[in-house]
Amino acid sequence: MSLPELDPVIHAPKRLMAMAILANTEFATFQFLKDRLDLTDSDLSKQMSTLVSAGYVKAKKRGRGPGSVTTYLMTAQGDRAYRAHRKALFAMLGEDS
Amino acid sequence: MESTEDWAEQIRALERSEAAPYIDQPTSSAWLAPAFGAWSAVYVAAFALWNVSTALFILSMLGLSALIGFFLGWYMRRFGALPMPGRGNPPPEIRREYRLYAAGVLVVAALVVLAWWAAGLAVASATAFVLVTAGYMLYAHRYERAASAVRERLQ
Repeated sequence: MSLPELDPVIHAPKRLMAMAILANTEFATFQFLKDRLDLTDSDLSKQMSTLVSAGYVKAKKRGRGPGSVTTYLMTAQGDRAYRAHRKALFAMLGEDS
Repeated sequence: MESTEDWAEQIRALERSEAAPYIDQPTSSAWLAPAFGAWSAVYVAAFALWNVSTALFILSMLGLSALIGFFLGWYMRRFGALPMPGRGNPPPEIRREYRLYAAGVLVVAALVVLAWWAAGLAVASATAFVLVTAGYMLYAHRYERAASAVRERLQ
């Protein structure tokens, strides 16, 4: 197993953790991800924008103003990429995924 | 170049993140079990409409399905994320509870049908209320215990 098999978009730890959460839920709110990943608003926004641009995640916004809620869900493309990346990661350590 | 320790740490962190939607949930509210029980009782009772009007029966089924759909949507938005059964990588402790839950649903459904056949729809509806309420309470208790075990393991 060699390094090029790891997805460079997902390999960044913060994005990998966000993808790990999204792979196990229908959707997650901005606040849920922020609390679990212990990131600032701007850092999380930046990480999620990268995942959205790659087509791995979709963002949805409900409501307007201070009461609005942004939720993220993983796309089928993101799901495939995450599973492949996860498999490669486990294979590097010789563990079963 | 990342070391084996780096990869191992990444995998542990990944497992903690994957487990988050399953274990970072609030304890089940006391009203939830009787609410599910009442919903099930009404669902079973609605079959009485079959002989009254097919359209009314279908409408009641759609209404009850919409109600549970709205509730789940509200619950998910309130808590930020809920696990998605059938995808992802649930921790083994949680996966075991899911399997027991699925088996429990089949047993409850069979007993409700049996009650209907033996004693009629009213008794079947009451049976659904009791079994679903008790069953959900038991499931919630077991799930919380499993979630605690996962939290401890991944600490």
